[in-house]
Amino acid sequence: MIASLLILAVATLGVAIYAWRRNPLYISRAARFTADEGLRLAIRLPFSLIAAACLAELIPDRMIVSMLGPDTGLFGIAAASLFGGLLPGGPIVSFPIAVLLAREGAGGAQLIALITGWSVYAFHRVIAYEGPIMGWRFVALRMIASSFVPIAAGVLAGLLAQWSGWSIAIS
Amino acid sequence: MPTLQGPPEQRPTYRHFVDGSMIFFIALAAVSALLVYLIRGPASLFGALGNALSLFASIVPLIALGMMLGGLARELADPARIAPILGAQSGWSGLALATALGAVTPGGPFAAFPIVYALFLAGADIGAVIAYVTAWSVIGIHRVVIWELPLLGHEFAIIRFVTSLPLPILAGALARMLALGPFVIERPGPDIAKRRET
Repeated sequence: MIASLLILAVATLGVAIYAWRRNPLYISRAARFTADEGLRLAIRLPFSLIAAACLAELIPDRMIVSMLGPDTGLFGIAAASLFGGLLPGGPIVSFPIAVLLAREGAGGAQLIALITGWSVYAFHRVIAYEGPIMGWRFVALRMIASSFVPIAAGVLAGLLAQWSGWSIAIS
Repeated sequence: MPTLQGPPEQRPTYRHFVDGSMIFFIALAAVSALLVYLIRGPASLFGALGNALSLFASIVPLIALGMMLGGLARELADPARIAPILGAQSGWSGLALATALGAVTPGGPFAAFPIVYALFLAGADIGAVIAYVTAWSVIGIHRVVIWELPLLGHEFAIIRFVTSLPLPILAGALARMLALGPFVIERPGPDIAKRRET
């Protein structure tokens, strides 16, 4: 958590200096964006975290471990991809759910498949934005063309984690 | 010729803060909390609330930083200059460029899909458009920064990002192949544009 905070702080500072050199106005506009979006999020976040924590509480630990545990392999990765696609709402709900599922015993590669499934399949987004804006043939083509993505992401990430020794298990 | 700029800058209104999604979150929290109370009992409910509170306290500073970074990226990015080089003849480099562009597009679907639509109308081919959408959703840097780094840690985020990096390009290439054969997609007509505005 501390390392992530440091990386983020350094990146933000670096980009801010670059932006300030190009046009100091960028900084004030970005700060206003941060304040507006931050306030909007600050109102929603407590409710979404409570919802995520309660939903995770409702699913039995044993079921999570047997469906999404680190030993479930390809089956768990495929199940996690589909389950991710069904998660409603934006990152404000799905990422806390991922953290809480990890605490209950979901595996790292399965979590990556879940997050990728949520972002690629995103059935809620398809219904709300993509179908109406882009048309349903486009949706069908995109679904077919990217159907392999969540499973590939989970499998490849699992392999890279094994090879590099880095941990994708969230404690 | 559609512009690739987002909607005009406007100050948020009351509706910006309290809208349908706000009501959705409150209802979801209330219903799930009630279910936990009824099915698992009060101790489980307090445990869940404690989990939510500790998560909230630890991610707020990170999310604030991430949003500042997202706001800066929004100021620096200029999609209008990139659209002409994403056509059907752009090959792998067009797909790679679309992937990079998608990865740096900040914001939710309400911001991204109008850009996708505009790119498509501006002459980007279906492969580039699908590489763009897939990159925006899978390796969107704003989402990595605002959500994934704070909540799941940098090892998880980096491994996921690196291994997912080529996937939008492959999805775009597959879409190009499909669009040549069984899946001819018409460019969205004016009726769809009209629906988008309502």
